[in-house]
Amino acid sequence: MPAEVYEVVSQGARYWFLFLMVMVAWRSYRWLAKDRRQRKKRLRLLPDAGFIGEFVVQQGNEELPQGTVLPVPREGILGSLRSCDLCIPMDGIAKNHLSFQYDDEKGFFICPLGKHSAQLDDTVIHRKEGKQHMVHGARLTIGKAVLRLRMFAGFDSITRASYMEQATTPIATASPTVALNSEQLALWQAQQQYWLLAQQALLQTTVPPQNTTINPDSLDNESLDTPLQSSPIEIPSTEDEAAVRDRYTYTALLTQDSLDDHEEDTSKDLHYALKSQQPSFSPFAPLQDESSPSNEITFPQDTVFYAPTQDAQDDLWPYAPFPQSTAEFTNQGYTYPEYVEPSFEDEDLTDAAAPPKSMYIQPDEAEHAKRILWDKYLRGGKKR
Amino acid sequence: MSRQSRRTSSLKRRPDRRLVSVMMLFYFSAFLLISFRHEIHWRGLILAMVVPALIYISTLWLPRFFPADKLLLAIANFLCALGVLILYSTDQDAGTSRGMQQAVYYGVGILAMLFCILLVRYVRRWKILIHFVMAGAALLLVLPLAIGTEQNGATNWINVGGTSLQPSEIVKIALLLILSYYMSQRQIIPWLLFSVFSLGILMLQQDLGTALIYYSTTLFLFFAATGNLPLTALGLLGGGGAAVMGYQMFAHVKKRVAIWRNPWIYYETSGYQIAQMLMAIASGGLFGVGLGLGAPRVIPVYFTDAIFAVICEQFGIVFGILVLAMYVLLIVRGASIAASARSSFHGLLAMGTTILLGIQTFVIIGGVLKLIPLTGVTMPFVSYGGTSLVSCMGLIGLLQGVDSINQDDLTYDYQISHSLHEEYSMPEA
Repeated sequence: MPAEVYEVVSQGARYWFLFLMVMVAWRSYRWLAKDRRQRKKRLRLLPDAGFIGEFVVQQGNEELPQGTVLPVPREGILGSLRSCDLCIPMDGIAKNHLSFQYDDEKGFFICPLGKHSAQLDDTVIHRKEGKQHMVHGARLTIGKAVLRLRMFAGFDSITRASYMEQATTPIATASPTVALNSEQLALWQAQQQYWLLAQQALLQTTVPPQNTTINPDSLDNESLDTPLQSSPIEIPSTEDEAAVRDRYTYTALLTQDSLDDHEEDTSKDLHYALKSQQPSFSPFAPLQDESSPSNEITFPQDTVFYAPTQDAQDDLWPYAPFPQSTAEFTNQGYTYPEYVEPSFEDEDLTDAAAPPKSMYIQPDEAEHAKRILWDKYLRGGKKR
Repeated sequence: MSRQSRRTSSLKRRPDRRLVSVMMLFYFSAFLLISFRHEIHWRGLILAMVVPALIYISTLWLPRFFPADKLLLAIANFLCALGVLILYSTDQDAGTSRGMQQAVYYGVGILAMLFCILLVRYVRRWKILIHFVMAGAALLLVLPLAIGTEQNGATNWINVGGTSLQPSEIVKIALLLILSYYMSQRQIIPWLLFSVFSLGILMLQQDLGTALIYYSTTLFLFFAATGNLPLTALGLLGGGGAAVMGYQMFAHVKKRVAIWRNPWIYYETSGYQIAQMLMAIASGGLFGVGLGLGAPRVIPVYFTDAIFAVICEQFGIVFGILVLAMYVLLIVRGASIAASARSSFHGLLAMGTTILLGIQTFVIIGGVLKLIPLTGVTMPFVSYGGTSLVSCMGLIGLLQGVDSINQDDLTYDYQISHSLHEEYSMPEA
């Protein structure tokens, strides 16, 4: 091409390239903005995403009254500074008092920082002793504050398993026990949720706690009111099974397939149990054995089972509810668990699919909380 | 609905395809134009086909097999291809083949990116591995002092099998891993020692631009990890003090500052490069002189340090601003990924990567525009340089690895929540 012709064509094409560049920049920006909007919507449908449970204030002060719930992220610092992940503005708490961390394989740990100390249940802990497990229901005393941990059920199981493995004195487990895989954990969480709602509905104090330790030697309905043990639930061996079955009605923790087959029976069992105020189902009941009749349950021999802790002084310390969502979520084209063509349509991520707000703070409570924070911290409030 | 309207509505809902299609059109037309500049250049025609195809494949198909963020890929691919385009447009007159070489380096960069994605995604225990990373990084940094060659006043290159490598570029990735790990574990001494060591080595090599990037990244990442403003301010002051000391100690630093203040005094000598860069940007005006036109080869080292000036000359200042906007989008995306990470290690890793890319971009663009003294760093993704391009793609891989973990966590939360609602609604009383 002659140089003069090329020069003319090139100078004309510069507007074309500029136009395309504007399109590239604009569409990149639009894509970024759309992704951000979608992510915000998804997070709104999952208010607990990234958290493993909550600390409930058992003993606080005016700023942090008893009953205050503090969501616990997967890791962070607890202290009196506002910049801490968990801010506890009370006497006796250092600016950065302790660190906490949730490990996917080892559970929830806490560790005091520097020379600070804390009390975990009845034990005073320091940094030199290293990280300490903290399980669902454990009490943490720091300064003048007493906090109690309420976890989502699945997160606690991992903590407890790790805690049991690392216990210096072996914890006696006389009979084979059952571990919960991820499917069972999900079903267990659902039962927790259901039990919590049912309990609220029934408001019956004679209803025995769900996390009942099943002791084959004292299989009485009245014995359900006795103080509970913090020990793994001992599932009876096969020969004792008939004796146990005479005293307890198990609601099988079924797999998806067996649930489809026995859904009617299960719902009837649950419903009857609640109505008769004898919820005798055990969330840790094993998988149903295909060879046995529908109500006969056997346990795999080589599995391990860890029960949640239960404080003898309290009636119940249920797990924190994990919000339920009806949103149809598709992953953004990632390979986990399998590649799905990403969807950029967000009709499903509507407010209707969000979990009920009654599970969390009400809008007016949020406004009230914001006003308090503004008054205290931004208009001459107490400096930290 | 007719097939045409279904296809149109489908495109409207797919921002990834819309963006990639515009990019493909841009590079197809650009390479086609440049290939007709003198006689028909077959390489240009091949690039007109291959580059758009590579953009399509790497942006839309690669995520099917590796967890990768499409937007990050799209932006990185666009910038890499821009570098290939500019280098190829200047190759014809210079008789060089930098454009083709850059395309090959881009392929290697893709592999590095995939490696980094898998490294971040699947390595969960860094306690032992980080020691090997530290040792390897230290060794790489020391190599140029032992067997290195000097280029442009800095002894930071080594020759491996006829190929020049710049170890400090590769060590950037190791630096981020080390800083992120030890800061997340709240261990100060290891990362501090490594930072001081690497800065010392870079000072000995007289690679002050890279030292500036290392120091700034460490400082800002420290602030992100601790939120300690007083110490960070102290670090900034310390950096300023070190800069003043460097000015007093090193003659070439004095020269750089002098030509930055007034390059026209030294126009025929040391200020020639800056003066030519400024004149190139000015001669391009708002819309540029046209692709393949102008006189980019007049600018010394136009293919690395001054490539942004060449872009502005040929495409215009408005185009240059839009290129900067792409970098800004990249940084915003990286910051968003860092904010969404659920572990401090991954969050710091993503934030460190974003900070490093942002600082490097600022340092080079600022130098070209005479905002700050010019240093010898490269423009990420665009400048000619195999090691630089590979390390930048590796950094993108780190970001994408963290993003893939974020997506996994969110997907898992949704699966739990959804399964709870589906299977266990309360029965009627």
